[in-house]
Amino acid sequence: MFAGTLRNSVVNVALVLSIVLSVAVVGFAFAAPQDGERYSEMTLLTETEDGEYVAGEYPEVFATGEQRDLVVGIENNEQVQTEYTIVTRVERVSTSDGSVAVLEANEVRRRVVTLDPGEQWYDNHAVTLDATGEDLRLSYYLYRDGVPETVNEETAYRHTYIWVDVTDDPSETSPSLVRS
Amino acid sequence: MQHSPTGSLTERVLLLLGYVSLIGAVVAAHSNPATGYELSLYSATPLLFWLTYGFAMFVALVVALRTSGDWLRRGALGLGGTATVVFVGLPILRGYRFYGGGDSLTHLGWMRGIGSGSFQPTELIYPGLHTSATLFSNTFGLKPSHALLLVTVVLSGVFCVFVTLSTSLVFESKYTTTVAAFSAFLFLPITSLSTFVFPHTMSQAIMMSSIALYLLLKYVRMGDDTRSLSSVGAALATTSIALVIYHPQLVAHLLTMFIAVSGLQFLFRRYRTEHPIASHRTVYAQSAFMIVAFLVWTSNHGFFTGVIESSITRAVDFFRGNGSAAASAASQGASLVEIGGSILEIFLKLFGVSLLFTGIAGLLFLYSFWEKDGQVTHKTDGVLTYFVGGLSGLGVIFALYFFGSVSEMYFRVFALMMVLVTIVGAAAISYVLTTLSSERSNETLHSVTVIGFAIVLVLSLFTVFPSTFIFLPSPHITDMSMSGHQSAFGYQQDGVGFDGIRSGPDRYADVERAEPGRARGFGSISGEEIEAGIAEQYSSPRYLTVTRVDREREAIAFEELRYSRSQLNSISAQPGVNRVQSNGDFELFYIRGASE
Repeated sequence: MFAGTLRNSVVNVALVLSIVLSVAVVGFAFAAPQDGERYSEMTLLTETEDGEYVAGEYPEVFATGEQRDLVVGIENNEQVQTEYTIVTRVERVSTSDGSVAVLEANEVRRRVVTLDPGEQWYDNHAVTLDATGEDLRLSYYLYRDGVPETVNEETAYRHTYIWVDVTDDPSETSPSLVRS
Repeated sequence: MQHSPTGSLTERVLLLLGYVSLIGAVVAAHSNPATGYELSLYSATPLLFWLTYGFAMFVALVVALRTSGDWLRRGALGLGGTATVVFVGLPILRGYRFYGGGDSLTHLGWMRGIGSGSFQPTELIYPGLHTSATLFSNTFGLKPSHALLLVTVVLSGVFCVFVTLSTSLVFESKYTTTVAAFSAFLFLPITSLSTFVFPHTMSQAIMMSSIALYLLLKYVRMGDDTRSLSSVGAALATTSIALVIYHPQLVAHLLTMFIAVSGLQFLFRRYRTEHPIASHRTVYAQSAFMIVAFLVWTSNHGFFTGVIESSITRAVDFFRGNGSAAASAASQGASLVEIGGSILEIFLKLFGVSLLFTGIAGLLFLYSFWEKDGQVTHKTDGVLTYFVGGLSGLGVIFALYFFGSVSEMYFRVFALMMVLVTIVGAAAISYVLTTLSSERSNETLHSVTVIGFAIVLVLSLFTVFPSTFIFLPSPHITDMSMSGHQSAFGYQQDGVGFDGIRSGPDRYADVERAEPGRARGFGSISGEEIEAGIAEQYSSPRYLTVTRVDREREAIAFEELRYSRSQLNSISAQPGVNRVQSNGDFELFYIRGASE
């Protein structure tokens, strides 16, 4: 009889505890959900005369050897300190059938930076291009924790780019672009 | 009373396991937050969650039905209710940045505007959701997006509580509370077509209308105790005002029920004085109050009179033979068929359980009309007649919208009808169970009920969240998408506008603007235009946003109906289209625009 009462009491206490605990767990889970997204944002920008960063006014035509200014922005939302490498390349590509194939690439620049969680960083830099051609792709590849041997869209963590023409003739570097 | 200590002990142990299982479910969901866009919340949530949540619901149903102890039943219903809140709150528990595209984002923007004081709530037609969420946000120190999602979860809980309480006022038995609670857990008013579990003022107003229905039933069935009468009356009047602020259009629909009740009361008092309705407390004053509240509020906003006028005009047009309802229904049907769903399939998935409940409710109505001894009428105190009146009135409005083809408004009426149907359907099931339990073995009866509810719960809860199951993409808004858009607007060059896939990012712009009205000047680019060359479509620079949501929605959920994979992939192979921002879920392209 006593064992039965004891068993009853234990179950009752356990049941009440489980109810109280479940209310607490549900309350906590609703009040403090976890953020599971870990990512980095890469932006390609230019700086205006007022010193503002803007996604526009990108150089369209380079004269060989001419220096043009660009800005790469990186925002670390990985929730941990992260070492980034930005690899800048100019690429000659073929764009048939809706896909891109890189025919030839020259590395222009490489930059390493370590950012704290939540940190935003801007890399103001100048680019000089030598190889001439139309519709060349000026690519910025972002890597975390080192760069593998092959740099391309598949191995990169993030990839941004602008299309440019590079010419020997300085008179062609007006903003208007003629394409066939 | 079969209060055997061992039997009761088994039930308690079972209930204990149920609660432990629910804790497991919450931990499973909370410790596996979304890491990126999820096309289906169902398949992306860990299986462990579904198993433990399913077990908890099952235990709740079994214990609530079988137990003879009142507090144990309450404990079981508490378990079922908490599990349901956990289910509806999955987007929060899974760490979604926000849940709900389209209107929901605009509401978030408006809520931010009200919270920051940039405009007054009265500038909106329906600020109820926004002010409640702002209150939550300020009181608990939560992000606006988090608070807005929480309010929708709370209102879903309110719906479950008041549907259960209302059913007990229609027909009281030892089964009513359990059957009504589990019927409410089906969320029949949520169709994912024009009523949703994510922030959407009409949907939350419909959830809230369960309070008004409960108070209405309570009020008409009250005795002459003036003190509690005036408290219920005051609560009903307050709820009317609250509902007007939550969504005046809902009140216009709900008024049908109130006017039907008033009309029936008038008729029965005059011609059928022996009927229970004749001795009910009249709701003339309450209905009048609701009308006044509606008119006072809407007189400042012309929108609703506009809707009413246009639906009537268009319904008339339809019957004259130049309407567009059939055409619109046909074109929607055609799109579904093209992506592999048959109309019948989608209809049954979305409305199968609703249809079943409507059938059950209908049978109870018919039975109450034809029975000779007036048992049902007596046991339900005549209130079934109110439901017949209310549903008939709403049926007329449904038809008016349907034939007037007023932007699928008829689904809104349908959703309100489903609140009434849930209550009557649950009352009918309780009535059948009570009648049979005196004739048959309770074991069989309980088993059949458990199996029946298990089936309809699975069927109905599978369509609560939009997913590929019903050919809809999940409205999951990732942090990547939110902050990607935010940066894009932040770095926007003067005079360069935005286009998107299927639609522009105007909803995200609404979040940023935080002002009444809508952001304008956004457009979209079609699959064919992408193929023809994006740069050639524009004479001046323009931004194009492409998100992972766009890609998965078009390629998987909509099965390449409007954009093919290769069209979307070709964007990065087009000279003159610069990819200037990328974060994994969000990409921003800068289109140079073709020169002359």
